Amino acid sequence: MTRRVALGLAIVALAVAPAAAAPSGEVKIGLAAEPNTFDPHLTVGRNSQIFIVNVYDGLTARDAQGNLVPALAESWKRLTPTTWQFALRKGVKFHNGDDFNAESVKFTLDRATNPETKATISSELGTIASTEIVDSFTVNVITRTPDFLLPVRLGELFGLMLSPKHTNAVGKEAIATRPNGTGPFKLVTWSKNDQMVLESNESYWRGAPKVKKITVRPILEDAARIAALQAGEVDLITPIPYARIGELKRNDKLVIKTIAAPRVFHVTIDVRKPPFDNVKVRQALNYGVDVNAIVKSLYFGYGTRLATVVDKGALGYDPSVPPYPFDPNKAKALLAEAGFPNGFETEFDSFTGSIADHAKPAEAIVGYLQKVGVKVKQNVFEFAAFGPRRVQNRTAPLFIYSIGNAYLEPSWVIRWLTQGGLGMHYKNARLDEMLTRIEATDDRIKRAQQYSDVQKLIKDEAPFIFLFQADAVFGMSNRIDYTPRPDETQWLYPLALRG
Amino acid sequence: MTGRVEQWGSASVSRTLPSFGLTRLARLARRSALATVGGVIVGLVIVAALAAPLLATTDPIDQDLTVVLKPPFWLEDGSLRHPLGTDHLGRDVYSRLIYGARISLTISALAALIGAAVGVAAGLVAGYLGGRMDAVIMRIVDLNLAFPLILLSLAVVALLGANLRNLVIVMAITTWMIYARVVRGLSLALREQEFVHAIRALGAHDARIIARHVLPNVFAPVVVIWTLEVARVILMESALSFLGLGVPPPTPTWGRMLAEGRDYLTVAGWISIFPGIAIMVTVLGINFLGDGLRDLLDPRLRGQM
Amino acid sequence: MRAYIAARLATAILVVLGVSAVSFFLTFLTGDPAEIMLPPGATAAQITKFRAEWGFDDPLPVQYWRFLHRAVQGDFGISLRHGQSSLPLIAARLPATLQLTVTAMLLAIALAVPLGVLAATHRGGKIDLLAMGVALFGQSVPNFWLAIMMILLFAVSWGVLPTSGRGGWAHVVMPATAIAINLTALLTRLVRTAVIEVLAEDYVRTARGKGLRELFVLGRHAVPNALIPLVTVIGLQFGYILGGAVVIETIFTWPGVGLFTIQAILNRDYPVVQASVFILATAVVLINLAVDLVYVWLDPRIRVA
Repeated sequence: MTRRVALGLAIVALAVAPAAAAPSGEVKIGLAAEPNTFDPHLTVGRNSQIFIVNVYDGLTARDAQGNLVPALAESWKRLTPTTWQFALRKGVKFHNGDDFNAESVKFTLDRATNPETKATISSELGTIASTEIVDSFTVNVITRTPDFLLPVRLGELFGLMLSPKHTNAVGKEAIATRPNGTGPFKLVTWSKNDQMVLESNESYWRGAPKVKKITVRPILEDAARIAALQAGEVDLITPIPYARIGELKRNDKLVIKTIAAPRVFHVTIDVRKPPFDNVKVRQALNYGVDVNAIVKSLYFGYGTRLATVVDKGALGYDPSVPPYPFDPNKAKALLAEAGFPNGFETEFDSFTGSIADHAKPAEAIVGYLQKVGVKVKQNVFEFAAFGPRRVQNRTAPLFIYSIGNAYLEPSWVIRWLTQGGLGMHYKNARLDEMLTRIEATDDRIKRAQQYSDVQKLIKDEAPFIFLFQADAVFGMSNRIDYTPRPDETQWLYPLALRG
Repeated sequence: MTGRVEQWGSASVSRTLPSFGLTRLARLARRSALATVGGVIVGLVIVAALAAPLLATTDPIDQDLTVVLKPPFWLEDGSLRHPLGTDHLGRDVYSRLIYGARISLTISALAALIGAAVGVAAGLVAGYLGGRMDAVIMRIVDLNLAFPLILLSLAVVALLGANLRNLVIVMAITTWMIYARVVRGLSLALREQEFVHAIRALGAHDARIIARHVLPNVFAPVVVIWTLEVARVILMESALSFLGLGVPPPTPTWGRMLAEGRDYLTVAGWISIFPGIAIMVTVLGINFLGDGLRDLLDPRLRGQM
Repeated sequence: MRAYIAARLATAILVVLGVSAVSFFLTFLTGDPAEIMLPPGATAAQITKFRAEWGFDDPLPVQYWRFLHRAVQGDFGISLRHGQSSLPLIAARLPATLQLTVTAMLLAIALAVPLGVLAATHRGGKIDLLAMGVALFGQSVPNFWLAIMMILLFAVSWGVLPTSGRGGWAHVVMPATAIAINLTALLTRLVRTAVIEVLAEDYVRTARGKGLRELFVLGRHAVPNALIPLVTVIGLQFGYILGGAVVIETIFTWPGVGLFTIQAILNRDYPVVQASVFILATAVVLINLAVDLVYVWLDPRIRVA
């Protein structure tokens, strides 16, 4: 059962890691949102989780390609189906000089799973039963049920490590703005909605970052954020509306980088409700929407058409499974076969105000459905009002949504999409069985192979209108060098000033 | 959201109901060129709204993703097929603009009308009956005025859903207080007028006095406020759309078009420039007309609006 | 007089309490933050558990009692999102909002008074027409639209002003202008009418008749008297300015109360919404109270109205 994870990559990482020069210079960043807190257990929204990682480290991490690599844990192995053992990195210090060791891990995980913490991320760490210290640099994490994803969970999103002494000393409220991590940057000042200053951690265990000071400004309005980059007020911004990319690319002072983000857009179909219990109707909906045209016109090509709900960066993504082609005649024919030659009436929920724009693609999808004879009434909710509708299963038979595949693992996404709640009611015993078998397979390569059949099955069953994943867009001035990562994380460690 | 004034001179009461005679209109036109211009603008917009199916060249919600972001005909790559270009879903901007006039005008006029009905009723009751009713109604007015508008809009939209009807309700809630205040002030003053005392002494019922004598006297200012509130509500619709709380797609309203086009300002400015112009010109026209009406109906109101 | 002030204060407190109660129930009825607070992979069961843990599924009256109990001690609770006390969070943002709104107000007055006086003294002339044109334009333009246009023009094309955020005084220019535009329009028209009316008064004619220079007559008599009603209008406009600041602060990422509040509303961060509504409503009510008192002081006869 022992598993050495990405040993080769770790060696490569070590070989290039230590930066020769001391950190210098300042980089200014404009973001659409800032974290809500630096308490890793009370983060709200992906915007927080993808940012505070700059101050902390997880037990594991991702490299620039999205592979899982060691971080505060040097290696890990599964001792029993429910016990994971992590061997910790030695000689790592927190920003205030505290030592990182097994005690820090136990303290952090105990805090995260303690109901009194009311951790917002508790749902992601729900399988953890207890943490045991084996020796100063070895811990065992025991799970309630076998959890093959645990090393991924204890990575940069949900496994950020706290210093016990500091955390107890400053108290629960103050930790929000006075974090003490092991990460590449220290938080110097933070005035919410105004600006945040980060300073390099010169004794960072991966080697000191190249930039000494980073100033982060929230700039909410897209036009203002882009204007700030154009005017040279900031050096790096994200996100950027797709419509503006072409124009910014023509500016030779700027560099625009796009990278596929693991956010899978889809339309959930309520398979319990007629006529959607008929697979022909569901397939007809898939034939009726020209997703390629949506990607081309709304995303200006900065997205990937997906055949199913598995994104192309995920383990076992099978490019040989072809997406439904756009074929309105076939859609009409299937609807006629299903007994709806003149279409039918239904409703479609969409929402505004979430991390990504769902209202625009929804409008285009509804437009296509109208053209194959499905008379769709589109509802638009504000995101916070849409949430309770999902919890109470009061969603319309069709609704658009997107799920960020944080673990880059299809089974995690598919399990969530077929949970039988939150408006998602598709169930399939054969699919469950396939996923259970996959989850018991520790070998990544063997696991990857088995996902092909899963994708074929889901595609044929069509419990969703399969859509696309959109790219994340970063704009930067040519005085800096930055390569964004494929997992939505705003990891600033590789940031550097040019020449 | 434009500002406005609730304060209305409590003493300024016009005794008689002015008649809308042709001679008066002619005199108005002579006296105020601006009012004429305003009347013409508003007239044109109303005609466009009424004749939308005749004037529009295509179905305003018919999308075609193969012709997105096409410029107006006078620009390179533009064509008369889409005289004012197309939006991000390949819909015809001209047709959406024409149909948008219909929807924007209807919801604004309706919201201002509902606000007027509620506000006038509340103002009459408060001002004419006075006493405890007056206190209660005016505290509700104060409460409504002190309540953050955005929270109110969000709450109504989130509770009842975003659609045309609820948008009208939201905007009516923001407009009734001004009528209530003005009408209260006027009827308070009227109540003390000698002729009202005399009629009451003759045994007339309160309801009858209100209907026959008070209501006609508040009619003129209410019409004027209504006009100006329609203008304000058109602007408010665009602000709510900007915040994502407007009419849901695909219904074309000017505010929605303006908000939708904001991502495309630098690549396809026409998506938002034309509805922007439409809003400005219409609001301007209504304001001109409102000013003119005020001069015509009740010159004494000048200082207060 | 003292009794009047006491009564006004009592109703002011009543209004603030009412606003806070209504906003409490409204925000609660529009959905809770459970799904927003949890990571996207949370299941229905986990969300249900979370709601129970945080007390979101307690009956409304229970939650309201909890809220009231704390609120009377000046504690609006810990922000769900920021993990800090909500009242200090809002209070810390008040200076930024005051800087913006007061600047906007001063800007509006500084523009409107000369413009209005010029228009009045050149009544019917070209200057008058121009001033009124400017004023009506200001009342017709959606201010969020103007804001984005200004960013594109002044920050990107000409590079003379910073795009967003708060820093030196250069940062205030665009957001303050965007907020001031509607108010400037309104005030210009008010000043014009008021000055025209004052110029027709007997004492001004007497002053002129005595051969006093026109500028002196204007500066000494006409303008000061015409400006008195302005006080009321400005006070009443304050609520709208705060409302307008929400949109403008968002566009310019101005770190004030408006931006913080709209984020709190969208995230259903109840304690912050409550603290903010309380502060904003109190501000509006207090300013209106102050205006009323100033008016009573100026003219005791108004007391009844």
